[in-house]
Amino acid sequence: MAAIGVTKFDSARVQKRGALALLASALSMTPAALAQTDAAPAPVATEPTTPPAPPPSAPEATPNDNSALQPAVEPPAQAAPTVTPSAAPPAAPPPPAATVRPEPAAAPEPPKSAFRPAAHGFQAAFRTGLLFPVGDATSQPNDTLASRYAWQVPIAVDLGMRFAQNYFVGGYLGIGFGSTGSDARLERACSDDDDDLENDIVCSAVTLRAGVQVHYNFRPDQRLNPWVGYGFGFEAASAKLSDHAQGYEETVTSSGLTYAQLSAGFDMRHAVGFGPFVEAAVGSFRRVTTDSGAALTTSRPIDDQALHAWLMLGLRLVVNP
Amino acid sequence: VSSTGQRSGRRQNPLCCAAISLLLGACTLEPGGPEYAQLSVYAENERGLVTDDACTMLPVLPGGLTVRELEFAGAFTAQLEAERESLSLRFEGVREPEELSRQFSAERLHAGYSEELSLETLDGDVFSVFLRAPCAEAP
Repeated sequence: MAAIGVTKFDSARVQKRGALALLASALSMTPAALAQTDAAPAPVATEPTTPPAPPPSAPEATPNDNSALQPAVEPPAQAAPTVTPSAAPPAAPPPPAATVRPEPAAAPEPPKSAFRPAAHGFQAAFRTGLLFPVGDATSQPNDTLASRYAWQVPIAVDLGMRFAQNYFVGGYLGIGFGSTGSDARLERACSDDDDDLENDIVCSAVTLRAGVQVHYNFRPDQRLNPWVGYGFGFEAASAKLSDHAQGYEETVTSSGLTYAQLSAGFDMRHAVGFGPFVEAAVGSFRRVTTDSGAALTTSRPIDDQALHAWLMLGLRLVVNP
Repeated sequence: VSSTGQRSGRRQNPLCCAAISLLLGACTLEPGGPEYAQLSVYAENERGLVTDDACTMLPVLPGGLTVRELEFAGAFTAQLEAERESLSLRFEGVREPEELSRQFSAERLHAGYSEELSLETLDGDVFSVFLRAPCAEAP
């Protein structure tokens, strides 16, 4: 802008001297000394680190530019002497340095991709949602997992450590609550079909899973952080029938290994993290324990093992996301 | 009594009585729930020694398995293995155990069963073993 101002008034020598006076004040030079360099004013005027004040007649030259320059320009009364040919350059006091607004040094902006530093150290997550049984409990005909257990409402907690920005290593513990499955005989047995308005038959199911896991966070310092995980561990599923009317209780607990707990989701990171996830825990039962009451408990290994999976859809809350 | 001297009263509606009777008739206080398949086993020797009546329930829940060993006065034993669909009975400490072993389906036990087995222990004692379904006191 200063260079434009100087070059626009090179036809009027007097005006140029006034402009040089202003420029000299900005450069802490005398107008005379600056006049000696008049032959080559451009390098000084185009110095980007020294924003000079506009010439006194700048408002007339750029009437439309009234946003940035207007506040820095001295009132016309003070600039008038600089446009008088008879006025000696020393008579025109240079405008105070305070009228020149240096541009503030550009602060280093954080990278636009960074949102919040990646977590490190202890991290916990709480998960819930819906848990669906898939696959076979054993290789016996029609012995599917869904025939034994209905869908469940799980509550799970993950505890562990974050390190190297992207990784989480820790343990998981989950428990699910639901009802017994779709087996026809089981449904008949669990139906309380009398009219005594009492809950004579109670059929319920509980699952328990625990193990270790590792997560990889793709964008650990972003607002939206996708992640995937793998884990393995122990699992148990228990179905219980309580016949209050006939005084009989029976509990069948199947236990085994979770070979792969595959999970994926994303967290919306704020003070805590929050987001949806999906999970598939593939495993097989290896042992069954039947408790028929009256201290009659039978525990046997399962010979006809089969693969099954627990599919979980839900939301998780992350502490120290 | 009304101002006209006529007695006013609530007349019983025969339809209402019929509806109440019908509702009461539809109600039952019989307990719901499963009809258990079960088998009781007890034994009696020649001297009149009667062992306890052991009632074994077939599991109701899928995957259930009950294995039970019964001891009869220290003379012989019987092993019962009960699953949802069947129950097997084997004797040990007796002569010709294969001929005495039994296999029952759940349906057969549901329908009711009764049998008396005569067996001789390895010590020479003679017992009568009674199999009965359902149990005397169920479950």
